[in-house]
Amino acid sequence: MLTVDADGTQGCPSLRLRSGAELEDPLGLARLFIAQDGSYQSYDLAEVSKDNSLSERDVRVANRIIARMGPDAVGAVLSRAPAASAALAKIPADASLVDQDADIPWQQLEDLFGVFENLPGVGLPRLTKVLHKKRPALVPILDSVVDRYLIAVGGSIAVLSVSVVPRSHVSTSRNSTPAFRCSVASARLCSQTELI
Amino acid sequence: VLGCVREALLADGVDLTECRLLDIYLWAYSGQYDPLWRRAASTPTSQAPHAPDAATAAREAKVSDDIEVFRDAEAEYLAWIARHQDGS
Repeated sequence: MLTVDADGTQGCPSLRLRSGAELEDPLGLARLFIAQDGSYQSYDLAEVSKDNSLSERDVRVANRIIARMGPDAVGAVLSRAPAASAALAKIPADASLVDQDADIPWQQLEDLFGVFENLPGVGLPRLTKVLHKKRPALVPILDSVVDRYLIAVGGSIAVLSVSVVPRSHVSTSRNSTPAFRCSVASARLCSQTELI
Repeated sequence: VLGCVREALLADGVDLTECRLLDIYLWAYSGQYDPLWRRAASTPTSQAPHAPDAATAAREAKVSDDIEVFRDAEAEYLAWIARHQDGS
């Protein structure tokens, strides 16, 4: 799908978001982000092992993309590290949301997020910024910007619930695990219907 | 499209997953936030970013009760991140 102009310039097809925005040169934009956005250097390039462990450093890396977790929040996440490691062990490091649906470890993903239920001060934005680095092709960053975008383009009520209860993890009850699943699925839906 | 971008970036030695690319594009073109790097982009879009509506603003205010928010304040944010390299 990569195109090369007569002058050797590479490019990818344009893409249109459901919001109506059209990106005529998504590859160029990605390269611009890489060159100019500090989060690429500080977060994307940060080495985090895609293994099954969850170290303090793994958690603190999220602060490089504005997770703003203080010692209490970091400690809260780390308090679940043993259970998180067990859950990560059931998710292949290369699992991806662009895989066929049947190949996506949905249940294991839900179990992973279920590990972090009822953690004060740790919501989906912070948690996904941590877990994206552990399973980068599977866990999108679901922060308030993405949340509001999904709502604006007709995202599910489940996504809205993440926004309404931002300071505690959305998975505060048995009923909320599907809410997380819907959130991830919505993000995936965006990628499939708009961007791929 | 995301797959195309990912493959091209991999050829450059840059490894960004489709998940992350989606995040980057949504951040830039959600209409909720206008990052510095996007302002420098010459690529036109068919829809300009719009300001959050009142309901969104109220929801965001609730989100931001006890955290420091930098909106249209990149210099301040960069200063903050420089002072908090370890995030604490």
